[in-house]
Amino acid sequence: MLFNSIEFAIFLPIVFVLYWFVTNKNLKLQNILLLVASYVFYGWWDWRFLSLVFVSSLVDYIIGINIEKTEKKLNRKILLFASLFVNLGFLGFFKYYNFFVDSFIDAFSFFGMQFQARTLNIVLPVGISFYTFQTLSYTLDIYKHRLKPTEDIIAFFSFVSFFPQLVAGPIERASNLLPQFTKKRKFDLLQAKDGMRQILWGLFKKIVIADNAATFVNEIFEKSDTMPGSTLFIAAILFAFQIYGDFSGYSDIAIGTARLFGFKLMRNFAFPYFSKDMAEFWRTWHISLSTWLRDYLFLPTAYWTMNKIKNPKFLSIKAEVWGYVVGISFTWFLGGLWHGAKWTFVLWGCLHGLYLVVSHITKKFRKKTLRKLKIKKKNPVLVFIQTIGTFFLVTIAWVLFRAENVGQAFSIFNTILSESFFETPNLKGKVLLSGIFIIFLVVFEYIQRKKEHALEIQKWNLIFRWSFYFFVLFIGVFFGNFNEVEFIYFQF
Amino acid sequence: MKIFLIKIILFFVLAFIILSTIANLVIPSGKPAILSEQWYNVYERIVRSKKKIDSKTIYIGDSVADQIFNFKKTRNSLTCNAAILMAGHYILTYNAIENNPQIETVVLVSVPQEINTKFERKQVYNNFTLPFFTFENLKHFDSFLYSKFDQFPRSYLVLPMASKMLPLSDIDYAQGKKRSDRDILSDVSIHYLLKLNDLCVANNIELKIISPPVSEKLYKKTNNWKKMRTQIRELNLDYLFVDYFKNIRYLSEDKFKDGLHLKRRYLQESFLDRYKFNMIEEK
Repeated sequence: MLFNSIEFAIFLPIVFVLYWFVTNKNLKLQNILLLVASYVFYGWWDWRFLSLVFVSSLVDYIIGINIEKTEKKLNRKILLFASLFVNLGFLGFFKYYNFFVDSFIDAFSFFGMQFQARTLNIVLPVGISFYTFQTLSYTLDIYKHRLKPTEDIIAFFSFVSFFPQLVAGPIERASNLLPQFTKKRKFDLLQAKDGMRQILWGLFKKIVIADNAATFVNEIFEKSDTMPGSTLFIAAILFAFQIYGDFSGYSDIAIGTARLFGFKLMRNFAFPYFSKDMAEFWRTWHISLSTWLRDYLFLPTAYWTMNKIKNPKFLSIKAEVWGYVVGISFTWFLGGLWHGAKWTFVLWGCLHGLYLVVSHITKKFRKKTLRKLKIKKKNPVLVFIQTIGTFFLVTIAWVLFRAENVGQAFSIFNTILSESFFETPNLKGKVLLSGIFIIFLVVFEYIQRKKEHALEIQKWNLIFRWSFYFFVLFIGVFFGNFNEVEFIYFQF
Repeated sequence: MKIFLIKIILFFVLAFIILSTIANLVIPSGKPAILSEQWYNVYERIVRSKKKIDSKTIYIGDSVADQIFNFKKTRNSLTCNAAILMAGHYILTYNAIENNPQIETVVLVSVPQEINTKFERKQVYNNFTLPFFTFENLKHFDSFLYSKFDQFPRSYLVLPMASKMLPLSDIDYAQGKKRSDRDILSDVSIHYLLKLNDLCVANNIELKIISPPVSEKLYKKTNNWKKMRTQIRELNLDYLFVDYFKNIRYLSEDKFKDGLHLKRRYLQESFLDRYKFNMIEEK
C-alpha cells in the first residue's frame, strides 16, 4: 500500500479509530492490531512475501532469546551466524543473486572464459533491505550485550513489521523502538497534531516536488543521448530534489503516522541540502542508514584496521587515518550495494566514500587556509559557497544513482561538459512550475532548518498557521501528481 | 483525543468549503489554467449551452465536428468530443433548448466511428462523468447510467462540485482494453439517441444526424459501415439516420492527421466548404 493512495487514506483512519477507541485498554490487543494492520499494509502489495517478514521475525526472535541464554562464546557466535545466514541469505537471494551471476559471467568472459549459469526471474520483495537491517541490528545488539531480548513475541513481530516504517524506514534500532511496544502508550495531543503536520509536509514533498520533477527527469534520462548538456544538467538538479522530496517525504509521513499511534521514530533527514561538507551531508541524509552503517560496519572495520597496524604509523600515515580510509571504503562499497544490485549504485557508494576520505584528509589543511585568509567559519559567503559546492558534489553522485548503467552516467557527464551545456535547454511548461515549488521548498526549509521538520509551525498565530496548512494542502490538490507514483526507495 | 478529532474534522470541513468555493468560481466561469485544455473545453460547452444562442440551429457532435464547426468559435456550436458520450450531447441539447425556445433544428455531427462511443472508454471518466455528473444534471441520469457507474463505484464520489477538483485518480472505464466494435452502435449511444429524439419531438424540433468527412480507408475497412447499417435497420432507427451514410464524404488519408481528425491546412478549406459538402443547410 502506498502512502499517497486512496487505500491508505481509508486504511489509516480505520486503524487509528480501532487503536485508540477499541483496543486502547489492552496493550497486547493494541500490538496485535498493529501487527495485523502492518501485515495487511504489506500484503496489499504481495501477500506471498509476508512469509519472508514472518520467517525473518521468527528466526531473530528465537535466536535473540537463545543468544542471551547461552554463555559459551562459540555457541553465541554460531547463533549470530545463523541469524546472519538467514537474513542475509534472503537478502542475497532476492536482491543480489542475478547481479552476482551476471557479474561473474562478465568477469569470466573478460578473461576469455565461458561460464554457464542461469539467472532467475526473481521479484524483489518491497522493503527487504530495510527490515533485514532492522532485525540484524536486534541480534547484533544482543550479541554485543547492548540489548536484552524480548520474550513478548507479539511486541517483537510488531516491531519488525511496524507499518509506517516497514518498507522504506527509518531503519529503527530495537533499543529505541522495541521498548515502545512493551510500554503502555497514551494519546499525546501535541505529538498527534505535530504528526499530522509532518504527514502534510511529507505528502507535499512527495506529490508536488518529487512526482512532478519525476515526470521531467524520467523523460530526459530516457532520451539522454539526444539531449543537450544544459537539459541534462537541469534534469540532474531536478533529480536531486526528486529523490529528496520522495525519500524525505516518505520519512516524514512515516514518522508522522507513527506519532499518531504514540510512537517516536528516529529522525531520518535534517535538511541535508544545507550541509556545508560531505560529512555533514551524511549526518543529515538518511540518518537511520548512515548511523547503522557507522555502528555496524564503519566502526568495527576502522577499529579492526587500527588494531592490525601495531605501530602508530604505517607507510608514514597515521593508523587512525588508515582506519578511517579502510572503514569508509568498505562501508561505502557495501552502502552502495545495499541501495541496489547494480554497478551504478556501487560506484555511487564508492564516490561518496571518496568524497568523505578526501574531506577527512584535507580537513586540517582547509582549516589552516581559512585561518590564514582570516575568514571566519560562519562567514555567510563561505557558508554559501560550501553549501552550493556540497550540493553539486552530491548531484554529481546522483547522476550515477539515477542512470540505467555506468555507460549512460558517463555519457551524461560527457554531454554536460560539452559545448551543448550552453545551448537553450529543452524545457516544458511543467518544469517551470516544478522550479517554483522547489524554490518555495528550499526557502521555507531554510527558514525552518533548526526545527525537527519544516512544518513545525505550532507557535505561529492560529490564522496564519491554518492558512498555511490550507495553502500547502491546495498546492498539493491543484498541482500535485496523483498518479500514485511509487517511492524510489521501495526498490531497495 | 476529542480535541484532536474535532480539529481534524474541522480542518477537512473547512478545506471542503474552501474547495467548493474555488470549484464554483473556477469550473463554470474562469479560465482555469490548472485544468487540462480538453477538460476545460467540456466545461466551456456546458456553460455555452446555458447561454442565449442567436440562432435557430444548434450543432452538437464529436471532436471532428468540433474542428469544423467550432473553427471560429461559432456560438451555436456545442460540438465537443465523443467521449462525452451521447448522454453528454443530450444534456447539452437539453440545456440549449431550455434556454433558447427559438431553436428549430438540432444537428448531430459525428463520424460513424465516434457516434457509437461506448461507456467503457478510457476518456469517458474525465470527459463525461466529471463534468456532467452534478446535482443539477441528476434528472438526466437514469438507471441505465447508474448500472454503468455501479461497475466503478468511485464514479459516485465526483458528484459534489468540490470533489471534481480533487485528484480522485483517473478511472479507466475500458480497464486497459483497446477500443473494439467501432462499427456498431453502443448501448449508451442508442439509449441516449432515442432520448435525444424524444426531447426534440417533444419540443417540435427537427433532429438531423450528419457526418464530417471520413477517411477512405475506413470506407473499405468497414465495407461502407455494413454492420452499423444492418444494426440500425434491425433496431428500426432508419428514421434517425436518413441519408446519413449516403452523404458521408470520403477523403484520402493524407487529409487526416491521425486517420480521424482533419489536418489544420485542410480545416480552413473544409470550414469554408462545409456548405458545399451538403452537410448542412443553415437556417
